[in-house]
Amino acid sequence: MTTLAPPPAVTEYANTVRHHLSGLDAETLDELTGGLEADLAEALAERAPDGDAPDLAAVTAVFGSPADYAEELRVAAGVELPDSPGSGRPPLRTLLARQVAALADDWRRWRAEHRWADETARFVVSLRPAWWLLRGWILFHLVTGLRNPFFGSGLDLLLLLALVVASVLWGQGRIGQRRWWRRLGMLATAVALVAVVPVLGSVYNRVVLHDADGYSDGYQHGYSDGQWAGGEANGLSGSPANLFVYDAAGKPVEQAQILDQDGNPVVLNNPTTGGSWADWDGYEWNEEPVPSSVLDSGPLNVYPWAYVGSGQLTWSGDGVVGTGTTEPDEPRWPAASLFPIDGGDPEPDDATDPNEATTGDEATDTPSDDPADEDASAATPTEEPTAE
Amino acid sequence: MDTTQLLKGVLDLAVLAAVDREDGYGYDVVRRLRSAGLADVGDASVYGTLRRLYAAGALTSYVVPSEEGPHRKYYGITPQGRTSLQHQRKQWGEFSQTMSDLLEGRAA
Repeated sequence: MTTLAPPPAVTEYANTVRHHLSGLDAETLDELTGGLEADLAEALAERAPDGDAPDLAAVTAVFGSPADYAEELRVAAGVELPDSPGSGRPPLRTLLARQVAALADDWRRWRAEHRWADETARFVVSLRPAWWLLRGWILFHLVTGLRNPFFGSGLDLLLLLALVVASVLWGQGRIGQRRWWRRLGMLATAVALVAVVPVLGSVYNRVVLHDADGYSDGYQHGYSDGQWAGGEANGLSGSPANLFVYDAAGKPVEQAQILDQDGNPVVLNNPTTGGSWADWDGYEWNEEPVPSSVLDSGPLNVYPWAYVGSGQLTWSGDGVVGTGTTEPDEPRWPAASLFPIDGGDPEPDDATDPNEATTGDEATDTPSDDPADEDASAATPTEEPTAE
Repeated sequence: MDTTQLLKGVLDLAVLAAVDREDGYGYDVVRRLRSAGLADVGDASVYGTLRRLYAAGALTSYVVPSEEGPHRKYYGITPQGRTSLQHQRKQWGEFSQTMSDLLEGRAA
């Protein structure tokens, strides 16, 4: 078989054919068009053995347009062009979509084959409305957890209702169906799904551990660990501003009443005057916050104290008249809970000797023998039981 | 009826038969088919069919060097291809017999 170099027109034609098939990978392309020039040239030579080298028009006349030739070649070879011309692979999005569709098909088939899977799936689907409610509630907690606790409970309730209703309506498909609203809804759902466990955990902490501020439990423990490590003993000669009582099991005791050895109420000192708050007559201009029980003449030895900022007080010539409409600040417990005392018993009636040096962790462990020290639930026989 | 339509169904068989008789490269097979009477067969169709049969394992291929020009890729038949050819030959025989009977009024 004698073959000369193919005529330029043939080369050009062949290259055009290759161009039309450029979407294919290199190997396939070579298989299809490897000997193309030679084949074309040979075919032409047979038709016109003595003629001059044909031009492109002549080649096209014999074989058809390069596009048609490429198409015929491709079809006969059973080769598909990829989706986007000029690239070897479909875009990532298409690939992902195909995978997802394949998974969905697999799931559907599996469901059809296994009765229990089908039943379970139906049951879960029927719970969707309950999920909408939960989603709204969770979003509410996420939103309120982030913001400054400033608005108070009225606005909170409105917000909760709004979020829950929005969640249900969106789930039913009655609102927010346009593109960006849909995306927002899907994002919110994803966030809510992720946050289910943490929010439930945090709510549990708040409810069970009376952590009114909503400080995270972790922060509380970290903070109290810091206290324990370097905690200084605040004897009453120092000036603690508040007392926080925990029982032997480490649980906070709200509204603890504290007496000294003579049965006198233990009252903390006013830092401005240096004297006891019990002696405060309302005349001193206090930059410091004032305990609310001092203002409303409640019992002064019920701890922890809630303070009112001095800016909230109303003064007259005769001293403090009132607190206006402001609620006192909720006391911030230094720890949501403490570790239980070794061998500690949650029963508050057990007499625990406050003078005993314990090895357990207590927030205010003092080395002195002062029986009026604020230890874990001091129980004297005449005292009412504290805590529940 | 245009013979290209008829040909589409049997091109595989025709190409296999040609290569079975003798190994050949692309245009070689085209030439043989044409001279056997299939005047309308398109070059591109034959080349594409050769490639498809090769991909399916019915044909093998090898390159033959040439001093005077480009190396040519030759196709040869494989045992699998031979089996397939036998099978299709039989099918074709039955089919064409059926068609002939039908056309000549012999079928019921």
